Amino acid sequence: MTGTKLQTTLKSKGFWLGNIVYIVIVLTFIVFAIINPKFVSGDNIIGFFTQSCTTILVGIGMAMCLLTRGVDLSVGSIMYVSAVSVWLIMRAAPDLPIGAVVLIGMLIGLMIGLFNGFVVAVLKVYALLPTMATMYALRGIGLSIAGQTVCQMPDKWLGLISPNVAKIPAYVFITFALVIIAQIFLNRTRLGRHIFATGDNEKMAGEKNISVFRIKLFVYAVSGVMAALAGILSSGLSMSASFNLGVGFEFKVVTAAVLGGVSLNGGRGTILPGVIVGALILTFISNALVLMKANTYSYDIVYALVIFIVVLLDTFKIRSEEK
Amino acid sequence: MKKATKVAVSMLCVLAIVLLAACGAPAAPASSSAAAPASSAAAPASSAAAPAEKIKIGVSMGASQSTFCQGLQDGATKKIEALGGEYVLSLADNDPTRQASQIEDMVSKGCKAVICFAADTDAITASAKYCKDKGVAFIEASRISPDMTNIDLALGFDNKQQATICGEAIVAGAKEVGYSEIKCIEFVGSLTDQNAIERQKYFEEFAAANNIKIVATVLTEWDAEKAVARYKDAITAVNDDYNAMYCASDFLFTPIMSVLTEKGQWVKKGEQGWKIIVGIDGAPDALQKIRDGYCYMDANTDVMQLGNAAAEKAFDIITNGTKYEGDKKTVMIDAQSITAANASDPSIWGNNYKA
Amino acid sequence: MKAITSVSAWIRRYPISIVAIAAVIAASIFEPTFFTPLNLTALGVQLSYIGICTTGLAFILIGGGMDLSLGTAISAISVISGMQMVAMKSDLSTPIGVITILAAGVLLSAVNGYFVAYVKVNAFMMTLITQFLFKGLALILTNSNSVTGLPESFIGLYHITVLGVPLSIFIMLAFFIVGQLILSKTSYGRKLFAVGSNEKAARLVGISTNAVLFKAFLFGGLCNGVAAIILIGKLSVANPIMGNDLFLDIISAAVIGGCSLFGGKGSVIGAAFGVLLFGLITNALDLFGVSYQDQRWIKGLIILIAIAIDTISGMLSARKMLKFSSTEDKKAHAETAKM
Repeated sequence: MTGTKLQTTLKSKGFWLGNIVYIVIVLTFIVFAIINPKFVSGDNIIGFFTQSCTTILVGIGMAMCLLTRGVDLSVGSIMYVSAVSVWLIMRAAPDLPIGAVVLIGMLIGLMIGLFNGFVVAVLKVYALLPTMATMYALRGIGLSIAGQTVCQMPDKWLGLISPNVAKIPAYVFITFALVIIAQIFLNRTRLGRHIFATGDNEKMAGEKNISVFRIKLFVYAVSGVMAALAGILSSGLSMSASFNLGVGFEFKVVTAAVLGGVSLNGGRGTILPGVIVGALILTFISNALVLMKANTYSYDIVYALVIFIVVLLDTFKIRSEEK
Repeated sequence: MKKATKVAVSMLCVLAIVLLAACGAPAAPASSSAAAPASSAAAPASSAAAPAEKIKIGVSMGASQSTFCQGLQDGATKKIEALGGEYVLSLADNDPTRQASQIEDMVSKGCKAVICFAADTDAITASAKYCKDKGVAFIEASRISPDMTNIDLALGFDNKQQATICGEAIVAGAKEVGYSEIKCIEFVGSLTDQNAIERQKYFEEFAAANNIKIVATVLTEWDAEKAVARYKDAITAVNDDYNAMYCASDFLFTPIMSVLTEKGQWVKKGEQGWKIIVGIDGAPDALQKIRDGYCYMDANTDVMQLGNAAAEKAFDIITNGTKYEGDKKTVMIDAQSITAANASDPSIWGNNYKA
Repeated sequence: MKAITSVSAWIRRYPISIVAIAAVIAASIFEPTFFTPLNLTALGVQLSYIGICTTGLAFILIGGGMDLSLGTAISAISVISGMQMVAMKSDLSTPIGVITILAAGVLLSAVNGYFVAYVKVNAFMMTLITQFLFKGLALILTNSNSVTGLPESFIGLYHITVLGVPLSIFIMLAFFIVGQLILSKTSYGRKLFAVGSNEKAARLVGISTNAVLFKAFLFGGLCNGVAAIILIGKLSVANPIMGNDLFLDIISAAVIGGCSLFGGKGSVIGAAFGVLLFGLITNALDLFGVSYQDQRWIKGLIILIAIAIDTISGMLSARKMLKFSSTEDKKAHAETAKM
């Protein structure tokens, strides 16, 4: 009976303690809503989602890498490279439709992702350092492509972000569609199950005839494509591709994923609802901080503390499971 | 076998690095031989006729995030080449430690002067002292340090004058379209940038004295993405009730356009809900928005001119040993107000700059 | 005879040293301004703070840990001690400032060490969190402005030279020597390697693994403190973001020098040559006039190549282990493979 199951869950102390972060956040949300009803107005709620989209997009790919016990730190730089690439393409071929430009951008992200995947799979090191190296190198390559530190997008690029349905921008729908597709893929397909298996225990997965090599190639490729999409979206939102685009973004995405329940040790986690919840929480925190007129530099500290509590609780959970 | 493989691969890397770098090196001998006939023609003017060695001048850009920085960089580097010198360009990505190391390397390389756009105007004084101790001239461009002891010359823009003409423009704009009350969102640059601090301070002074109500302040950290996110938050915080915007740099015109377009509020002057948008810098894309009527005014800071002047003064100090003292060390350049009336003026740097 | 075999043994143990020396020679040939006292001094000092931090990170890596927060920790402790010295305004400001900065370095690292070694939080995640914490801390304390007005004598530490060579270079060498000695000659060093290679096995033989890893973090914190003193001298102010970008250089140097990210493998001497190679490349590329963009992908490529070499040699040595028939050979090879 689902009724009694719910009752037992709500009564158990473990449930409340283990999810304390989310509970506090929900409570804070309610408090804000009471103080300022505009906070829960349609416009503002839509705003939460639009501001989270870039994080969610990259989070799809990052979650997959995390599931295999890896990480892709180069996503911020991939965002930059894809943004300047589409800028260059539109300069060289101004008559190309936006859709084609976006596809080419995604292709570039795919190639970079495959390179990352190859390095991580072949070199068998913890993905931290190779993707960090790629992150560092790509930013320079992006600058070479751009030829200048700030690139202004042509006016037609507004077409990326302006279409909307009932005041909700089209890109929000696209992001959610991708999330749903990704989660179904992870749950229902064989490749999805293999991804979980690889993260759980790579050696055992290898023995079961799972091609760990192909899986790693795949997840980093996805990460690359997603990052490219996010970079394109970001360039549309600010109508420019500046040298700072995406700097430090990789850590924000990892934070969102972990907040959403994706485990750093691999094998555990969801995109829907995990990554979405994580990204929304981060957006909510920054919104709340702005409304409280908090010192801008406190943002980093607040993020760090929130995720610290989540990670700490996660660690205790892992330790008690091991026993 | 294993160790030999290791060593072999390592040697290959070194070889690769050296080859790559050697591609950069031959540029020096090739251009100095081209300079030889030119310098012999100008021999009476220059005393260093013997070796055809170009004067090296370092251009150290502490930050690179807007067309302003790009214009300054281009103004300096192109002028250095035009005057027959060789420039050494380094970008420091807002990192004061890296900038200090890069300036040290410039001195090691033989630069006789360094033109510097500081990542941090307090930290840069150490580099100025390093240069002074080694006999290298140190010229600051745009970002001026409070402590000028070891700095030979500083060229900058008068932030107070810019903020004032921006404020005056907002008042004029409000009168033009009939807004009785001015509610302004203030976009601030970065708290580490002296220019940004002054642009904020003097605007707030003007606003207080002239009935401009600042309803929200957006800290952009000179970053377009942060600007977009925080601007959206500010709109929520003020319940979308504002009719003017003051931008510490006009690179913000583009993110603003994007946010307003998404909300369907990007309109021209005279249309319903038009917001008085003013900025500083005079970048090309901003001028276009003024010509089109979306934005109202821009305070033109001719960065190309500043870059050129910095290069010229650098040569002057090196070849003639000119010294500047006290107040004369800081040279301020005024900005002009650009509105739709004069936005097509061909003498404005933004109209000559290929972005 | 003995000299030749010991040199070849050295080369076999630290192949990176050949690469570094070859790079020095190559740079000197192609760029006349490289091998000048002016540049070598500047380069040496630029390497000093990286080298000291790399020693600390090497200890942590060998023990199986990680510290992403190094760079921001340096910034935070610099502004903290900077503000303290400015507030103090006494003749004792400088020595107390030195003590403060070293203590703060150790303290911040102890936070990392405690949660990673004792509470067993994932090291990557923990130090990622503290990276943000320290970064925000430095910015809030100073409102993102540099701390100016530091005592002349504190800044003067940076400019002290011994026989014309800056003191910081000697300090770096001292850290290298002491670090290597601890790793190779003391029981602590042996324990550290054991903990990094296989924590469970180390615990079974009675090593208090938590304490061993914790101490590695403490040592890393001390290194950060010393590096911070040098950095403050370099900039003559305490800037709240001055150390933030150092992490990539430091970890690249450590990995190029042979420290494995999985723990249990590495050496300070290897790391030292890694520091030399990596720092030298930056300096040489600057002098060559290679553009900033090109420098970035060249360095990125070098890191990837270094990892590749590391992996390949690891795979080859594992294969060789299986080939050996006698246990004697296996033991002897394990000794060299440990380096």
